[in-house]
Amino acid sequence: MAAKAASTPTTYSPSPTTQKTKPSFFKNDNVDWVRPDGRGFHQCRPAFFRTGAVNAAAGSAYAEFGNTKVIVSVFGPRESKKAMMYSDIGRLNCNVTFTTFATPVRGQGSDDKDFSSMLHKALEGAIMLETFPKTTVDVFALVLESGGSDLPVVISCASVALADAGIMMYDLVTSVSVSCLGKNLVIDPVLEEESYQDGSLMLSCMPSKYEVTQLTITGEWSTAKINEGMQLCLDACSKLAKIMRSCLKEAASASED
Amino acid sequence: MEEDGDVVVTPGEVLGKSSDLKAGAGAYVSPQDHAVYASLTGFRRILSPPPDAPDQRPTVEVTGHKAHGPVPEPGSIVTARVTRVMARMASADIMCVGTKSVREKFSGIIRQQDVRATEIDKVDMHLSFHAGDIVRALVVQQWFQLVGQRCNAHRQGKLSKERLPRLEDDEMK
Repeated sequence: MAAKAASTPTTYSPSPTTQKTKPSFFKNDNVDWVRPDGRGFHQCRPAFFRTGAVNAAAGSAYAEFGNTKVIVSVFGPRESKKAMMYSDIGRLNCNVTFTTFATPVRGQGSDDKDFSSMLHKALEGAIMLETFPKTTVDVFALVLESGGSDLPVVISCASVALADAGIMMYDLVTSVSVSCLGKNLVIDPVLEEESYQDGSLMLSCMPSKYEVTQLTITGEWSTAKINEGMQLCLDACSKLAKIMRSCLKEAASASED
Repeated sequence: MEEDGDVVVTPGEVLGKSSDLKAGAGAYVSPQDHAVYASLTGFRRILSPPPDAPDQRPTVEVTGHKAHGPVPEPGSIVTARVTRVMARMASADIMCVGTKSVREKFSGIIRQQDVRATEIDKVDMHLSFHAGDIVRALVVQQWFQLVGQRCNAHRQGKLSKERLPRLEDDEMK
């Protein structure tokens, strides 16, 4: 009895040697590892924007980053339906939904309720709300296919849709995220990388004014890593803005002809 | 003077320095760096100032493409259709703000005390308004409250020479 008790301890305590370690995504921090879609660590997916995807809306945009595909439609400014607090300025109403077929497992994407408020926070600083007093602008984002970095794509696409709707803005809002995988930072992560990530950093900014409208960090980050990640995001944001501007200019010139 | 109407700009693009240019429609001056930025997508137009103006800076504005529909705000003159008449107020749908027609639905309320400037408690809403009337009105406050003035002539009424009453700011408080 005594011998058995000695061999099988009654209380469990984790010993440091058998402590579970998360399997490293990079085997032995192998830097030669390639990303699932063969990109470099600091290389974004090709971005595609097109305005005027929804006819019924005041403005709309479609964005495609690799497998991530979203449609954003903007309605208004229109009369505020809800009984609202007294406010001289306009209101911004954001809603992000996922199609049932957006994720690999059917119907899993829609439980992210905070996407709507994150989109609202990222955009509200860039919109001149005082130009449509006491009215509401509705921004409806629909994620057609979730391929990773969904929220940054939704935010960038929404700002193109707002510009298409003729809503006065201080600047476009561009958004990029980086994932921390082991020692490496990968920009614009795909779904697979997001599921393995140790931490993520998402930055939304107004590129020509160089102002950050939103910064979201999850996981454990050192100050140096945050600096590096923010710099990566800011660089990518200013490049993304060029693509968005060229899309808007193309649409404006086409409507003239 | 530059009169280029072909340059397309997008929100956030720098149009010039505020020392050289004035911001017109679709543009704004940033207080941080005193630059003029575009706030809309459209064509950049530079308008030269009138020769006798004290401020000789040209005005830059962004026009064309799409702008959002007009929004009624306090002080704007609107054209509205009366939808419902009650004892103390009438509700109306706004059709035009100034000379522009609205794209979205905006409803307003014409209160009994706002119909005319004198004897405001003796106004009979049912004699003043019918459903379907087109009225010209001044937006007073908050919930698109209107001060109505009848302008359809096919029925008898007190339409003619009523002036739009002056409104105090504390109307809604």
